Amino acid sequence: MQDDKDLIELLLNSKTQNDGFKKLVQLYQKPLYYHIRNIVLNHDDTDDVLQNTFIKVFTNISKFKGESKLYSWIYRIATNESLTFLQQKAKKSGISSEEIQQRELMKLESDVYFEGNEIELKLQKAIASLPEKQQLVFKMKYFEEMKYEEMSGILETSVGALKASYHIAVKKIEEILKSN
Amino acid sequence: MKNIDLNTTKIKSGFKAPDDYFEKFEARILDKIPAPETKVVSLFHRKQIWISSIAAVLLLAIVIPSYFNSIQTNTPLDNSNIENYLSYQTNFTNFDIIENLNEDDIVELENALSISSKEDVEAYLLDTQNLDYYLNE
Repeated sequence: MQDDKDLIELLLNSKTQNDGFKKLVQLYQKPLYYHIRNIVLNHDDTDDVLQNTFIKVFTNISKFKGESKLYSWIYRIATNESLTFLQQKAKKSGISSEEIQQRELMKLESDVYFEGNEIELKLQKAIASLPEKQQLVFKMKYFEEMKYEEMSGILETSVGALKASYHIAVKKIEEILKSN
Repeated sequence: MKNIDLNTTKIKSGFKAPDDYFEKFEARILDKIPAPETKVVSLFHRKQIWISSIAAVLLLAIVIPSYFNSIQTNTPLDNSNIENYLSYQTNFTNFDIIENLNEDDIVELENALSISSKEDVEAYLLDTQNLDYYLNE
């Protein structure tokens, strides 16, 4: 919390805000990249969303009230930006977010920035068959290895509900993988 | 496909970022952040402060001398005022005035009254009510 406070002070002072922002980027760029990539799936879209996320954090830092951890606040912005990006992309193409996701999954096999083999690809396809919230919970817990308390701060959902959601997601994915 | 227990089996997401992506990203995003906001001071506002200050100084320059003038008496103290004042002050007697006159005052009075001729002295003695008092002195 003290680190958050120091970082926010740096960001709010016009003389130190560039240094503060540099620290913020160094600290969050990698985990946020993979968090966004897990949602939007392709690298170029991830790059766009990651930039938007950091710019949004920078321009809105004065509105951060400290009611949650800075980490949760930044991840919440990244998650919302990713979901909004998918919705806008679907709207532009005149199809649903689910269909956009299916399209991206089809491209994964030829994606130079996807190094997974058959099992990784099957897992991605199985995840895509889940409802949006369950997908998010599964990706954050399984791939990003977040604690339920951290996820609760980001998704603003109780720990109990997250545990239940993850448990259901795991069962469904195991079923899909078994049937394939 | 055989049963997979996701609680014990770790499957990676398979996603990777291009080489040196993060090193370049830092420089790219720093270029994109909006410049720090400079505080805009309205020229009109500053001008208004100057005008108000000058107006206040001018007002004080007019009001203060007028105030001091108003508390000063408008009529200058001339001899007739002093005479009138002394006439109405019953505490002062001719004797008090004489007591406070020195040699210079007497010479000055003589010159002022210009008692040079005999007629003047006689006229003065006739007009002076306290003549008996002075003769007894």
